[in-house]
Amino acid sequence: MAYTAESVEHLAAQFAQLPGIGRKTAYRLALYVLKMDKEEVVSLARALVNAKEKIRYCSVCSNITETDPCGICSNAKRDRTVICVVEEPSDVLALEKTNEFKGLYHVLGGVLSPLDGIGPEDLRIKELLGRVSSSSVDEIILAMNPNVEGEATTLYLSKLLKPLVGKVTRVARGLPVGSDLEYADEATLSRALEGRIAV
Amino acid sequence: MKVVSVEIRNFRNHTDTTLECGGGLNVLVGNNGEGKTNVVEAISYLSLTKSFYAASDAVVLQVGRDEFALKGDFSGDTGVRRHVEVRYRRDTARKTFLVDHTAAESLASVVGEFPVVVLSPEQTGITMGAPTERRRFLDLVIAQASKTYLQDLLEYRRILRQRNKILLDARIQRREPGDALEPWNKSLVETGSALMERRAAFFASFKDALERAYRTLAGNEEHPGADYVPSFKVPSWSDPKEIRALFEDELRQHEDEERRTGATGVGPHRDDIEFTIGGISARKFASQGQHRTLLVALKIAEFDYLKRQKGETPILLLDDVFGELDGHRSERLLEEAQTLGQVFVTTTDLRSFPRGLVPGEKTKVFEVEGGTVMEGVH
Repeated sequence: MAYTAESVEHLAAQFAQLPGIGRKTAYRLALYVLKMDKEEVVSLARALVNAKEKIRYCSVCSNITETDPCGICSNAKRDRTVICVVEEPSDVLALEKTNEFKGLYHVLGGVLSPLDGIGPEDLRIKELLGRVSSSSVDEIILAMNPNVEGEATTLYLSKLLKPLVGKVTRVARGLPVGSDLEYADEATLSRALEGRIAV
Repeated sequence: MKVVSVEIRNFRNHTDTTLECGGGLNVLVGNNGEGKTNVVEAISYLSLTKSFYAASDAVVLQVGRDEFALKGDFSGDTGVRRHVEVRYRRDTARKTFLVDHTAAESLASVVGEFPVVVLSPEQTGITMGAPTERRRFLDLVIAQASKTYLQDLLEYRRILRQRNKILLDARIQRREPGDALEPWNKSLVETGSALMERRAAFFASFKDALERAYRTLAGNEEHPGADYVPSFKVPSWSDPKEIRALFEDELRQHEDEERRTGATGVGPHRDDIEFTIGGISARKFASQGQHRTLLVALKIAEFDYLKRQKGETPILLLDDVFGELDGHRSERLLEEAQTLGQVFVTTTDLRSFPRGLVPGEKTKVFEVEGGTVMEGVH
């Protein structure tokens, strides 16, 4: 049972619900909050509520946004003929950081995984097909995670998209940049060999 | 590869055991239930990341303890020192590996780093039992030799579970799985074919080693064989496209059966090995003695294969094999084993050992009693 006050227990329990936070860290966070200035605490609480209230999903690409359509979809400078399909909003964030991709995105909201009860109808695939047929898209880039479920989703989407789009591509699997060949694990190396390209 | 020392904490009946191992023969002697096998199991655990006996990690943790820990100091053939450590915690049900004091990315990354060959009474199933036991043998050998194989194997199992879930759901809801299966079929064929190709290549080089080992042990002209029996006929392994086309075709032919059973009907998870002696099925017709010789020969061939593939001598773990073998055969095995590398042997009776078993730099005898290990015979 509780060693501290009930309100602290409650706060720690709330923190512990978050991913990557164990019981100990939850207590550390809860006790830290007690040490913070009241204004800081209020602003933290506001930030939490604010984010929840203001954030919604873009009606075009399903990315998280405050405005609908989102900043990327409504940006006139972006290339509307290329759509990059990703699993989660966090993937958009990662790709945007590269500053290399100037096209649009489409967030599926997951991958095919029968074991988790996720089928094609649970992903935003219909929306993707709608976008492709209603506007002139030249290329779809499939950027799923390199695992069994990502692979199946890539195969599933490519079959649906090929009759509709001129070019359906997928991101390459291979060696991480800046690392040494000798440190790459065997599976990555063999995939990199498999996907070798002519120079 | 040799084990220099092992530390065992809260694992089975060992609360706090440290073993300084000899470079050659290590004999663990004690009555049944005193903890001999547990020492051998601990070494295999460090190497294979799991027990060859228990199905789960929780089972090997001592009752009433929160955590077990195993540490091993190894020395490679070239003298390179390696260190491996595993911890398992009851509350999180997680085990973590440290290899050379760095956290291992995955359990799969540890397998094959410290190659071992295990021979125990349970393994008689390889030649006598169900196909699962033969597939387990096959996977464990090739996975230790090739990380790509292990990766493909883990992926294949995941694909299989996903695909079977679709089939099962469809069966329960009495509807057609439809095109939901299609992406999984492609993955199944691709990864499954890669596994089959590697298994076929394994047998091509394993057969000779098996024959050599069998003749040394049996001392006669009996001719052993090990043939790969995939779940569907593959006339030639030279064309990858052809194998995949055959696999796809087989999947189509199994469609009705799969809808009835709710499980994937064809693929490497249904493969088998046919062992023969003198061209006749060993499983059906071999005598008990022939089975034992075949099993020991298999293990020596496995040792040979791993050594060639990895360029590193595996550690040989012989658990309670002398109860199974007659005096002549066990003497041959022990002579053979000692020429191979470092060997760990468990026995209830030192008298079953050949004379010339003198404790020294190369041979060490450990007495195991109630979860404690003492060097020398007391």
